[in-house]
Amino acid sequence: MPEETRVFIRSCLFAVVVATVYWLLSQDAIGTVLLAGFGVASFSLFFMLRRGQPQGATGVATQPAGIGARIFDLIGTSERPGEDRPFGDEGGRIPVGSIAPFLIGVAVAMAALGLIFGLWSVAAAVIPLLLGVREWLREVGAEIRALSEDEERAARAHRA
Amino acid sequence: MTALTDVRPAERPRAGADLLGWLTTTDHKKIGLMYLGSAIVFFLLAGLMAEFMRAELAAPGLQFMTTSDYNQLFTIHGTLMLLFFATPVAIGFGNYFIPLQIGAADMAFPRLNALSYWFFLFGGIIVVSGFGVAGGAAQNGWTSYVPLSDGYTQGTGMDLWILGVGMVGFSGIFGAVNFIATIFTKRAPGMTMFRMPIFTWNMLVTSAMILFAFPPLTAALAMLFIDRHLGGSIFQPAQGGDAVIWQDLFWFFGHPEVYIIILPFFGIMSEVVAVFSRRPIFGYRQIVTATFSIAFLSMAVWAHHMFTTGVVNDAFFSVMSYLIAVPTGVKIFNWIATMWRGQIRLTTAMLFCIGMLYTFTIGGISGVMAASPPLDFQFNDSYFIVAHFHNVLIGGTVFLTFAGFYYWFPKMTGRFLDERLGRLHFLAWVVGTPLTLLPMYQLGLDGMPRRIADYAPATGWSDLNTLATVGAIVLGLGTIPFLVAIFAALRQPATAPDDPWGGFALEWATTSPPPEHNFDSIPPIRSDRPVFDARMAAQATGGGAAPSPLTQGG
Repeated sequence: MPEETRVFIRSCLFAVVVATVYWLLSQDAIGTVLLAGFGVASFSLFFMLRRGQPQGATGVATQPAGIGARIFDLIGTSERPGEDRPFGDEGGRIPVGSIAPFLIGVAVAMAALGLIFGLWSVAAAVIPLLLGVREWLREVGAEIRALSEDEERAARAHRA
Repeated sequence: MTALTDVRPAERPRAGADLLGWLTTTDHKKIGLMYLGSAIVFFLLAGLMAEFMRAELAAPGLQFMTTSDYNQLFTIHGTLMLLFFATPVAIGFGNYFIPLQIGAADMAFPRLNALSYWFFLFGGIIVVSGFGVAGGAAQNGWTSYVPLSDGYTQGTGMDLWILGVGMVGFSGIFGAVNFIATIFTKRAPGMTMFRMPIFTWNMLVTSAMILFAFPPLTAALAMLFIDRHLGGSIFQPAQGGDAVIWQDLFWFFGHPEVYIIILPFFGIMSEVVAVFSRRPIFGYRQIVTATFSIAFLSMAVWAHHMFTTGVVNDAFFSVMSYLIAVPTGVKIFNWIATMWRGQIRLTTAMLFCIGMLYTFTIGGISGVMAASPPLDFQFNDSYFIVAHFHNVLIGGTVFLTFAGFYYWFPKMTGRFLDERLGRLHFLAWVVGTPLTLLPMYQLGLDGMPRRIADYAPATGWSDLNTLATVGAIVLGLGTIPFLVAIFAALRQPATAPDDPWGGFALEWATTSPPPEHNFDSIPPIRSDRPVFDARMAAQATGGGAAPSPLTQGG
């Protein structure tokens, strides 16, 4: 199992053990819920990463046999062949500069202040928010189109 | 060398120093610099507040301010130092150096990265703007305990505090998602998890902690706002609420936060100590394991801040708090072992690391004392606790922030910070810190409570308070050489070589400062010290460039 997913299963196991011990010792519902919540959040991240992991990054051919080896694989720190690559790849484009984050930041700050100073501030935040979101979506769309073109170009070059 | 031909820097406009360039940037390096610059401004502001507070406490009687002014100062001082200096300065270094250390061209989500910065900046401005509204800024301490912050404190300052801190909470969560995604998906070929630099490891663990710790704070702030403005009674006992839930939620964020603002700096320590001892870090895997252990345990120690409430299991949280000293001690021993028989170069960055070893350790040991419930019942809300956490945070976070600046400034700007000014800076801080804090320990033992603006002459606390104020003045004046060094360096031409210190990690494989796309080529990565390996290989074949004079020693 890649280290990326082990990180979260370890914290999940820790949280489960600690939450159990804490409940047995104290019967304190608040503390136990917080610790259990930490475990659930860890497991959710582990589960999502495990599902999202690309095929071939898991070293399928070298899955450990036996329950002991599997547990060690889960919490140990060894790296097996096939696990030494990142989940993604280094390709892709670097986005151009964008005014969208600044506009959305301004809008959210104005809207937050509106909770204290009145709805006029929330209303005024709508314009920068819409502009920011529109700009963000436009840039993402352009990036996706550019990446598709890159891939097609690469495929054509490969065929040629 | 692996050429990164699939990254197209031409997509991005040329970096400009104009305002629009900074407002619209999504370059991780510029965002990192913006984080660092803003965090230093907040640090100076909060430091100025500390000087005012120490001036007030130097002698009995109210000399300069009202008790309300004092309350506002210590509230905003704590908030700014923890949430708007210590956390963002780590995020700033992470932003700049994580993509460089893993061989990536940028963060995984560059626009989200910029959004995270703007949330942080506007959050900080909103918190500080409380000084300009009727009734002044928030004045319930950085912990904002209910019912004080709930029913008893009217006024806009407290609301601004809630909104500003809420925004920085979201900023932290966005940043954490970005760091984790970047480290998991953008590593260069050959950069396995166990070849990553320790700083990157520590930022990864810190990011995971932020993901788990910040949401409870955001939820608590939302509940507090509901109580204050929408007729809620979540924290109001008179209406069936529970005030202690605020403490649980706040400290479930607050204690991991202590490690969120120390682990990245432990990473800086590991980088600097190894490079300036000219030895690989001793016990790489043990340090990584210790980092995980600290992170896990930090999620289960929050209620040691609540021993005196009588509603938590003191024994459990005491044992967990003791345990956390073990992995921390492992790190301290590993750094010492790295230096042991190394060829140590006493640069300013290294001096701050050595200073950290004893300053932080004193704070850590006083923390172990406070983890004992019988002792904590005596220390709680006294100056002993103030001295303890300032010892940890100045020794750990502030010293290593300075170390990070002296170490990485040539990479970030192509310029060196003046070493003579640096030594003066170090001397002032290494003398000023114990001069400020040791009297505070004794004041705590003598019974002086924290968060008071005045005390009676008959208490006998005057001399120690005067001494602590002198120490604070030394710290304040000692910061001036650092600022002068920065401004002086920025007026010089950028002449720093790519690898002035003989570094180990990938950031030293590119130019100083790096180009917009970070790397033209990356050396083969076969260990956690790829640049060192490349240098050795080049020297072995006789084709390497001669090391710069700075890598030769001294």
